[in-house]
Amino acid sequence: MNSIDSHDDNYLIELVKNGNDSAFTFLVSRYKHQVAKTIFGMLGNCAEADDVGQETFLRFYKSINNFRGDSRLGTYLTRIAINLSLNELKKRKRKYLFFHFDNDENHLEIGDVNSDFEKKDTKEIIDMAIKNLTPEFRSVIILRLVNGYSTKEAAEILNLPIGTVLSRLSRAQIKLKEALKKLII
Amino acid sequence: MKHNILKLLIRSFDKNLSIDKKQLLNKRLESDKNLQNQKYELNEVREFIKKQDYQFKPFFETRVMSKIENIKNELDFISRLFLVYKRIFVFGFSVSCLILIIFYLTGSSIIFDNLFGTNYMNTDNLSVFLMFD
Repeated sequence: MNSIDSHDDNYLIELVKNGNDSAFTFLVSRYKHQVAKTIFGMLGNCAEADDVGQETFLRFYKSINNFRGDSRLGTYLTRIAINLSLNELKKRKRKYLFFHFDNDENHLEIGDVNSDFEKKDTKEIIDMAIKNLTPEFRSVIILRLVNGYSTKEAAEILNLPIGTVLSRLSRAQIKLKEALKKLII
Repeated sequence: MKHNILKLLIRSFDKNLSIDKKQLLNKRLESDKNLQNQKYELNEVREFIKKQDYQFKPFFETRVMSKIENIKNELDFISRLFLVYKRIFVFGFSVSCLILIIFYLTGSSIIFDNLFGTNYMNTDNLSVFLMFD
């Protein structure tokens, strides 16, 4: 293991601010998994997910001098990733409305998940069930269950009251339970 | 009531319930088979979702760093271009000042007419002069 990698985030950030780009590589390496969980969870497995991931770290690099460390770096990056993912979803929706492409965004019913159940593996079924949620519900599920943030942290990241997050979590879980009925033995 | 207890059950996963609500839920869970099933199913769903794992394609760090390098190069190019323009501007400005000084020294004036020699021209011949006839 490289010695620089063992340092905490603040030390690495200081190095980056002083022009040491290899320190940034370690930060990317440290947080890419967390960012991937957020972005793939929000967008699904698509080509844009990698671009959005790169853009997340690029935004952080550009604004690194403004990063004061008030929140943890992971939370900061997740916030950027969620916002960029929501922008990407809006872009997709606009494209769908403009070109009338048969985009898979937000129009599949829960029944679709179960219809070709035998053909799909568990991961695919769960991915599809998550994808069928609207972005508002999806974001709380991804942050709370996939990323493992507390309800309070999820509310801070999404800039929402805790009550709204709890209510969205409840409704999203009911929808997911319905969609994943066949997986539960 | 049934709906409320289910709501309470779902909330219990994401929020610390007050002692009386917790007691109420536990009491109902002991006696209500359907509620026990609901809890089991919700637990299963949450476990399924928690197990979802996602990764970027290999060499993600390399792609990010090369993008950063490209942006730095672009910024570097823009700043160099700006520097060149600045130099050209400074050079041009200096030359203009020098010309003005020379004109001032030779004609003892830096008025517009003096610069272009139009003060020596008869206004009757101006149209002829401008048409280079």
